[in-house]
Amino acid sequence: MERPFPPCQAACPVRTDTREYVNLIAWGRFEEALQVIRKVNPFPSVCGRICQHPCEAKCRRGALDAAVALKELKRFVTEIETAPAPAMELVPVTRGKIAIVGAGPSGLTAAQDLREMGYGVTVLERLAHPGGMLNLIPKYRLPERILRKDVEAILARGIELKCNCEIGRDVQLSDLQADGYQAIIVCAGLSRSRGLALPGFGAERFVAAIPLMMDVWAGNPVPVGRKALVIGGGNVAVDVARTLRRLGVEQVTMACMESHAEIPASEEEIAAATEEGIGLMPSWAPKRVLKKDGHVAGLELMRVTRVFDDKKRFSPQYDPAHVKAVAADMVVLTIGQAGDTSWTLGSPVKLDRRGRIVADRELHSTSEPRVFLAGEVLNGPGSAIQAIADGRRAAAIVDQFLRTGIMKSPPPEDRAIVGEFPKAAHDKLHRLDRMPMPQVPGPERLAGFHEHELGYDQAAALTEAGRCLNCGSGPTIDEVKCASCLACFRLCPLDGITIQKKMVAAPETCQACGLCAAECPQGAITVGHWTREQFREQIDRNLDVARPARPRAAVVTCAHAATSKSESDAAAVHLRVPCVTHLAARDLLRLIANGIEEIRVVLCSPAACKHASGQQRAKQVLTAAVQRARAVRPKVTIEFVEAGQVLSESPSVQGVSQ
Amino acid sequence: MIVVRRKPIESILAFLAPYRKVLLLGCGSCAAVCFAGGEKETEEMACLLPVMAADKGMDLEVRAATCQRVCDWEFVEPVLAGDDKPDAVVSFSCGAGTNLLADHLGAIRVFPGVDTLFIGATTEHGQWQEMCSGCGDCVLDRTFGICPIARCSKSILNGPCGGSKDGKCEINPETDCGWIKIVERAQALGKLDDLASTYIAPKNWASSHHGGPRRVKREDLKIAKP
Repeated sequence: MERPFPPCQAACPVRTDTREYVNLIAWGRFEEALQVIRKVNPFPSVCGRICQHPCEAKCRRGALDAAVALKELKRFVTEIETAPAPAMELVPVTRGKIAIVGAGPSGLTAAQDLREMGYGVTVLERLAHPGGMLNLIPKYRLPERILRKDVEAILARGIELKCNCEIGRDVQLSDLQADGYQAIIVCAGLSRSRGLALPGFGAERFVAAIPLMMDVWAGNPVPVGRKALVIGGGNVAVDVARTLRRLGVEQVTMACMESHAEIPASEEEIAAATEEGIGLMPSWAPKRVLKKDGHVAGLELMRVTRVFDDKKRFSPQYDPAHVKAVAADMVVLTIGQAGDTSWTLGSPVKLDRRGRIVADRELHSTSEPRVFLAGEVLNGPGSAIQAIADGRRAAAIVDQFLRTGIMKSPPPEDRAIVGEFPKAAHDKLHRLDRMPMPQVPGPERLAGFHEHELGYDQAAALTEAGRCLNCGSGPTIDEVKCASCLACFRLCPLDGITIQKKMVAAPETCQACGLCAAECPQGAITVGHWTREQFREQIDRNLDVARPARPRAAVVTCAHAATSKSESDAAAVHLRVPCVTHLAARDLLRLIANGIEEIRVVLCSPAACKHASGQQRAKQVLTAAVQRARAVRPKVTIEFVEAGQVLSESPSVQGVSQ
Repeated sequence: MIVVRRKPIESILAFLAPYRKVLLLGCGSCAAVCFAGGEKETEEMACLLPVMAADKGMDLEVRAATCQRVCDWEFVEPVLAGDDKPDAVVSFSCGAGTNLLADHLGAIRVFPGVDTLFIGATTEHGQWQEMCSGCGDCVLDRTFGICPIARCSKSILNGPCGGSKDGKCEINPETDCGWIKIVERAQALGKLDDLASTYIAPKNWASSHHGGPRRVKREDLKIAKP
């Protein structure tokens, strides 16, 4: 039976195995954590900076104290210094060639996936650099080197990139078809700002967001005023407002139609804007442009009484009597974006009455065979991670079509999702504060476009990763072996086991502490990926390595305390367990049978341990095991040492079994 | 369940002195539930036994295996299949399983790894109590579900005796007086008069072990294969 998805993974458009990479970080296995992310996401560094992290919104820890800082952890793991990656062996081109239009997140993702499948891939980009709309994200949020790092890693797989090559201008769809591309996937994004039919729009200092941000990105001089009004409430509006502050605009106000509760921008972005002194005017819409000496002098705004109707459709209503004049010498419109469909002119790709490309959203297809769409040009505005997911989806569909001639959408992943954490168990859970992201203070940020979020250090990352509740990785029970002894039922600190003929672990309660597996008299329980056999192999392997020295001491370290100095005992055999709660009596006896007489168990301080309630039980069971072993080895000792999160060179440990 | 207790490791090792290849056979039923002879306990023993043997200059090759129920031969047979037969088997099941092994194992010597104690129940995790003596002639109908044979130290049929003090037994002050429990139970059910007027006549102990080894034979369940 497949385990249910943890809610974080289910919420991620590319189904990143969040729980897995967070646990790997908690255990100090950073390189492996990065590999878990890379498996589904070619933009790990970018997402570590700017992802809207739908995973965090669904994190079950949120209902207890605060969600695990998943984006921050992702960023941490992408920044770990490692030796330069060995030159990648390119996948040989064994299939036909594919053209991808647009080097944004969806286009490059589709390109990478198809290239890895053996297709020859050429990406056409209208701008001078790849990255698409990611380029327009202000550098204080997404430094250029971060974007380049991901993009270069994708291109290094043997993808041809042609910049300054715009479809419809520099090359026509028919040219690509004539060049023998077996499929063309257009991922051109939404590159045009929507305007408003207000007099004066388009004049200097009354501009739309995209041209303004393009100029900022390109380093062109941008004329700004002293008082700016930004119209719009999305993340782009916040980007513009915060950019203007950095360009020296003294007073920036954002006005949007949505009410405070409806503002589409993320809470974090709004909070950051507020810290930077940006004013917020929810429920106001532009009515009239105010002018002075032929220049924009502000806007007259009218009160919005509602934006959406009962069916959540956009249907604004105003109170024309309630107006307000806001003085501004600069106005920027950020009220949405539209795609550029001019490339379809003269091609067989059909548009509908409203000028939109006729397309099948499920199949990514257009009216023209072998011409596909992906990303925002197909689905409308969305996040980077949605674009990445859409690129992956399009690649899978195109591949299937080219291999079989069948157009079919990939089967949905309809695994169950771990449910809410039961209220009854809330009080039994150890509260752990979320690690704050170190920040440059608001006023200091405005001096330039330097990143103001500084990233976690190793200690913060380990602590934060240790907060993960391991949702859904709880025990699987071998029903044949299970003797129905009830030990797990009686022992579970969260009362997460029920009896239905045999024992059943409630996935919504279990935190995978492993106490039940360690205690089970039949070895019928497996928790997470941790198995007795793997640990036994770890013991044997490490003893083998150490054997010439005949070590008398062993240090068994909770993986969450793995970077502690207290484990650095060069003369000892070093072993790791996911948490001391996973350690079983017979694991220790195996060590003792191999000549170990001093056992030191390094564990987290109870204040930092999410399984704190299980620590005591583990100590009791392990101490009793050592007492039993004294019948054979009277000198055996066991000591429990609390680890601080102290950074050190940890001695090399032969693989931590999960 | 049948409650067993692991024998001291020294005793087990002493059994094995003349043998080299030993199978430790765990039982996944009662012996597992009372944490004395399941997979975990058997593996623990497999860790420690060779160490102690080596200290004594013995060359012991130990294998541990656990089957679902040692008192059914069909579960045991696959564990002992193959040519690599042990010289001796230490059984961590109750005496029933160990006996069955001895009946089947021919030249292979069988030893008990546990002492079989009683038919009992778990009163809390890690604590078991005798509840039934298997006398073959149940009187629980007259004693309100509490067994005077198993839970009275003297197994008297009409109690309590003069050795009962403050609800405890004179044999061991930590042992509840079985007959006081019977009285309290009758009282709680409003049936104290019934108890007072009931005289339990001496039992026919032939149905207990005194009539020799017991067996149950059900003709209606007999499988007749062509």
